[in-house]
Amino acid sequence: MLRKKRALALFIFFLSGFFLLKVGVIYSQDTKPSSQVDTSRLDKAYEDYSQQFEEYQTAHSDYVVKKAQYLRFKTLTSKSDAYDATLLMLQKRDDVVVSYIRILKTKLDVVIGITSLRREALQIRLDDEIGWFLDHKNKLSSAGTLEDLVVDSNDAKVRFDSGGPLFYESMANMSFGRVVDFQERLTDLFSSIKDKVEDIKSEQREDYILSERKLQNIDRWILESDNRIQRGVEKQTKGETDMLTFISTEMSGALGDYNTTLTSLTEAQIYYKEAGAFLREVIREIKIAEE
Amino acid sequence: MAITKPVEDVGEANQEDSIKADIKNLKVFLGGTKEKMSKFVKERKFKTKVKTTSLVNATPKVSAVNTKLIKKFLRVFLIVFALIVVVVIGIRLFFMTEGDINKPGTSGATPTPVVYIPYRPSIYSDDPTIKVLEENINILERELSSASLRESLFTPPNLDFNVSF
Repeated sequence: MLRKKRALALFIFFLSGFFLLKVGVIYSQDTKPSSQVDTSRLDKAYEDYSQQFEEYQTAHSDYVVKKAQYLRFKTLTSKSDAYDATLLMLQKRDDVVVSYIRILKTKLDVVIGITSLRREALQIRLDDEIGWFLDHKNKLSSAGTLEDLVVDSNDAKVRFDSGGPLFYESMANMSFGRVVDFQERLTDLFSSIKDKVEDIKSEQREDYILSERKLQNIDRWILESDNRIQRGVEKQTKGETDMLTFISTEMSGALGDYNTTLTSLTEAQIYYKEAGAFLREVIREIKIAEE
Repeated sequence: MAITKPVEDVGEANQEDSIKADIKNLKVFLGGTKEKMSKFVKERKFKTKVKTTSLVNATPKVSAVNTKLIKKFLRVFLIVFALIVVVVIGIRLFFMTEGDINKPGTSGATPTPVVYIPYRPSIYSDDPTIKVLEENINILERELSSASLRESLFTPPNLDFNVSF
């Protein structure tokens, strides 16, 4: 009898335990909201680029192994294997370059702040690069020997290096576009605030008239803000000049040019940030009542 | 006739005695064999009994050891399993109650916090144009503070161009 009771208690205990666990699972499923991710063109281009890069890495690993085997054994089979692996790796490498240039092109499509003329000029040059690498990829399969593949690979190397300045110039334009957008919005806000201050100054109703001291403060903040915007524009123009005169013709030099451009653009960004803070002070002065 | 009769009688009496003696002898013989047989049977019985009892006594010993082990194992298994269930239930209950604590209260009205304004607002504080300008300047300032101009996602890929054999 006692045994039966014990068994029953144990059974109820386990049953309640499993019930609680089950409830927990249902609870967590219900609270999770279903989210739909909107895939834009840029996302798709970047996804394609990532996939191509993964495939290239796999092909490259195989190439390294086959190359080592060929250099060690020097047999006809290992030579044939090395040829196949090298050919595949070079084709995948061209695919990566093409997909990379495509994301640059797509990003330029959506970036704000740059003129359509500049955007199109860059996209035409990028299209040239895409065309060259697609042709190169098609040409690869006609290579008869490993030596031919090496020559083809060197051609791609030279082309990729010479394309470096274009790639960095495109990136610099993206950064420049953002700074231009900041500057335009800030200038608009500055004008609107200045207009509002002029309206307040011309106010005749007694309750709406601000004291002379307050108006002086507001003018001082507007002046400071204007100064920062002017300095920012100077730095922005310098950045633009740096960007348009990329002197390097190789990848590593282009990185240096890009960094120089970024330095000027970052300084412009800092000035704009200060100008924004001063404009906020103007608003604050307007919103606070006289003491 | 009288002489022959007693002779016949003696002869009959002698015959009867020998029969009696024979019967007696047979009885003695049978009694002896019976005793021997019963003794033999008894001995056999005892021997088989000893054998069977020894066998019967040996098997329960082994089975008793096995059942003891199984019982012990079952007991340990049940205890461990019960402990696991208790721990899991405890963790679930803890998180469920924590979730309840973190959830905003649904019943009853919550008091609206009084907004502390460190200054006395002017007549322009509720001006719609001023409000829009303030909102826009706040958004722009936030973007200017958080924006990174370096486009790290778009740096050229690192590819192996040194192909040689």
